[in-house]
Amino acid sequence: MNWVELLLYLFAVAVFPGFVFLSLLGTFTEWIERKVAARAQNRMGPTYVGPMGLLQPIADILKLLWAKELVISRGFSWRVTLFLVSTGVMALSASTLLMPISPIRLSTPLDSLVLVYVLFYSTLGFLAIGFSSPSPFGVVGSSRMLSIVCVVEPAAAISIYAISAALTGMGTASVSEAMTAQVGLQQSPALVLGGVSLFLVMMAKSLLKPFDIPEAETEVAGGVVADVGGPLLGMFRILHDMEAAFLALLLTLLVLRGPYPFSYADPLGWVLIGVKFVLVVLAATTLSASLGRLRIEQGVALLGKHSLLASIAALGAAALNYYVVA
Amino acid sequence: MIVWYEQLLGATVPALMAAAFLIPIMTLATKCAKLYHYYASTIAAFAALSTVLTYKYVVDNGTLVYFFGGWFPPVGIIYEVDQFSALLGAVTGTVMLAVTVYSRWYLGDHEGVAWYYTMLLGLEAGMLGSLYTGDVFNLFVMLEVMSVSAYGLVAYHRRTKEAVEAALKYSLIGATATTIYFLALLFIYGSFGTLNMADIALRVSTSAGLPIGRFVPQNPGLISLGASIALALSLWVFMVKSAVFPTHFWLPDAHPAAPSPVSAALSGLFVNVGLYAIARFIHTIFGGYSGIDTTVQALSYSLLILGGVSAIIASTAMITQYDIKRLIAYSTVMHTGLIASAIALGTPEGMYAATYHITTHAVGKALLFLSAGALVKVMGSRYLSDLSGAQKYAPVASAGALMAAMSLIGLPPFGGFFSKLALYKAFVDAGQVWMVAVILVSSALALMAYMKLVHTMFFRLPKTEAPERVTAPANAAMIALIIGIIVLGVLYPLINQYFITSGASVLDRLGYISAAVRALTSYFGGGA
Amino acid sequence: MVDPGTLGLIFSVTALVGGLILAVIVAVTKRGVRETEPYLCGESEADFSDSISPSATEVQWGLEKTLSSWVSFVRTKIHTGVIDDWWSLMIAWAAILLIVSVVRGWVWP
Repeated sequence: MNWVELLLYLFAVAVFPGFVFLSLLGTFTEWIERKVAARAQNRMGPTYVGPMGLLQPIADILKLLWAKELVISRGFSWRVTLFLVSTGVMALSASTLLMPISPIRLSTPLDSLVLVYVLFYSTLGFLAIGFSSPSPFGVVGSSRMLSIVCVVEPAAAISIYAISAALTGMGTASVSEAMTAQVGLQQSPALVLGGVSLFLVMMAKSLLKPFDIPEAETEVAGGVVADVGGPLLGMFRILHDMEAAFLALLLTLLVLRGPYPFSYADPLGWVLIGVKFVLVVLAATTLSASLGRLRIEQGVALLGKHSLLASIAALGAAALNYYVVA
Repeated sequence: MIVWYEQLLGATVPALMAAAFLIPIMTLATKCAKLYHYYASTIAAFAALSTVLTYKYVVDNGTLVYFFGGWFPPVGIIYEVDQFSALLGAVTGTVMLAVTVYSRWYLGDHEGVAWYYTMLLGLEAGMLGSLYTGDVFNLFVMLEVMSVSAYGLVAYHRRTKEAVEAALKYSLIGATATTIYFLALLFIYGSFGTLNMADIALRVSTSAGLPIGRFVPQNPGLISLGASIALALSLWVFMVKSAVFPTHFWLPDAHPAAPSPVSAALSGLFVNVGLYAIARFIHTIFGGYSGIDTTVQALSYSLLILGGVSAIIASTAMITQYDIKRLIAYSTVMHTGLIASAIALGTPEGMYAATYHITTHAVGKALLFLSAGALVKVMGSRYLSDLSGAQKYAPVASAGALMAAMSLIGLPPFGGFFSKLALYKAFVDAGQVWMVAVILVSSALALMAYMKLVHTMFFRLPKTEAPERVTAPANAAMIALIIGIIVLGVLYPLINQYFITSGASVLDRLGYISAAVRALTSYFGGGA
Repeated sequence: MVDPGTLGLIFSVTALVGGLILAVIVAVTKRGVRETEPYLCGESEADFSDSISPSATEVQWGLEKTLSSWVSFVRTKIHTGVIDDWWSLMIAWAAILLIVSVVRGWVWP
């Protein structure tokens, strides 16, 4: 890796499609979510900052980032928690380099599994923020989050691997190449099942409605961040929005085939990516706005049945296609 | 012509044994605990140096063969050390050094220190002997040496009911296992007329035998049956020793009951010997035998499935534990299951993954047990909820436990990530895609268990003032293992090659046989 | 094309180093620190929050409840703690191994 490549790599991680781009996309995702939830409840939603309140989430986060840090005298070190959350943010930023929208693409066999393990840093940030707060609500939120994560993480891993394997071969299973691979009819079962699983994973990880169980009983905000404020809360909002945007983007590019029927070289294809992304987010938020919250064991069981089992079924379909049909 | 490295290899295990049995004699002269601490650390340092030098020599010059007492095989006992056994030996030697240094703090002036070190050095001698030996009967002896030391060490806290019960259960199961292995040896000797590993491997593939040997197989059908039964019996025994699913029950009782440094040695290293023996028997010795090919296949496949079952069951049991050491012991069952599955594949990728995962698991698990031991001793309780806020009193141990847990889950850039990646690759390339789901699900359940630990250590507030602190040598031992677990990950591009060649050496049957033949011919000074 | 291990190494080092940089930037640019006593959603709170927080042995509650039948199967049918029960499984497995070895090793091909 020479220094030009290194600079390009750093640019990609820091600006596009990494930190800057993904965090802006994340705030846009949050704006859609807030707007849809507001309209469903006959409210206006954000209107104040920017056209149609589009910049409201950014303003919220900046306000938090520049606020005074509130330190609870006997809690866990907030600097370490801040580091963990930031690590999650940067892990998400780095992972975007697997996507075809990146100027440099890293692609290896089995990068689907590497992606899942790297993304675990963002989950760790989520968990750390609740566990580290001295408030019982934060700890309860994180422990519920942990129960969900134990089902959602393997489901995400298996479905991403299964889709990649169905499209690029069992031994290759490159998520990066799967995003630009050709899809035949025989690969579609794995794609559909994996897509269903990934969609539920996205809803659970973005703490959308039936799965916002960490928020239950705290009724303040975000469950795990019940007693967190200031820059730490700002970073958490960035992490949460980026994760939601990342998973929606992954769904768009991997399951909904990105610019299909156009190509990445075609400007129309990029427009189509945008449209599909908005559709994914709209679908998730509409579903969220029209459903009630589940109890923790119901939520985990539902995710286990419809996300984990769907992902295992996708793996089975991919294996069947690879070893028997092809 | 015997050169120094062969002398060193030959000297290591007998020297450890002699050093171990010198201690009871020394107790007649002095009861000073400090002396035994320094003595055992010196011996362990010698063993670490010697095993690492042996590994270096084997990497540079190929398989090392040593005739004990100048007696040639199949009459005498030989040590045949290929890259696989040398690597495991080096891991054993270095981790045991950390364990011994740590023991000094952990035991302090406890009255039984002398007996503890007798058994600890005996354990190390037994493990190294089992890994290095090229003789199936000597393997039996060394398994007994190591197991008997382990029973004693588990019962070390002999005034607690738990330790006595665990040691009883463990010794009943373990003694049955070694006896059954003896039965398997009868079948092997009856079928092949030899107990030398290379000789057996040669006879099963060519029915010729080493240049020296007078046994001529009479009835091939009976030999195939005998070999098949011997393989099945020894597989059962080695599954007991390595704690794979239906034979793993002793482990979650025995390992937590032992003193923590011993738990580290048992969980990190002891189970490796069983895994090593499985690989050696299935692949090197009986791997190319057309007469029992179908048996090997059936046994490998069942081992693959049971390894997966082992991982799922152990990780389920992990999430409900409230005793920190028991939680870690279940994690050992989970990881040995995964390694056994990888060994069962019988592919170069599988053996590479198994070797890598054995190494990262050994370092990670030893670190986790040593850290847990420090936390338990400092906080005065084994219950997870009593360890709250332990990072304030034992920062190094808490950091060690955190890193070991993250490595065992497979978080990059720790060593465990790379060995798990190797496991995935091995299972996928062998067409066993379902194991990918098994690893992911069991890792997620293990995550829950480790997060309990991390939560209580770091995020809870301390309830009581801790009475004790960890001393510098014990911290140094943990820091060395922390560095080890990071180096095993970060230096992945550099060290990867060593695991590939070490794993491949198990499958290189011809190389194993020819090394023995070459050593024999050069011993007699000419071509045979 | 790098191999997957190196990719994981690159990504994780990027995440850790980048996370450190980001955390330092955020920590430096904020306005200041206000240290407070523990409080509960705005209410002042004595030392009881620790006692009502889930302890380490309770954080798995949600998962354990969902998997309760499977967990209790593992705890009461497999890991019973009684050596006789263990033997029955171990001996059964040994018997299966022996049967397999005899059946498959009998016939010389």
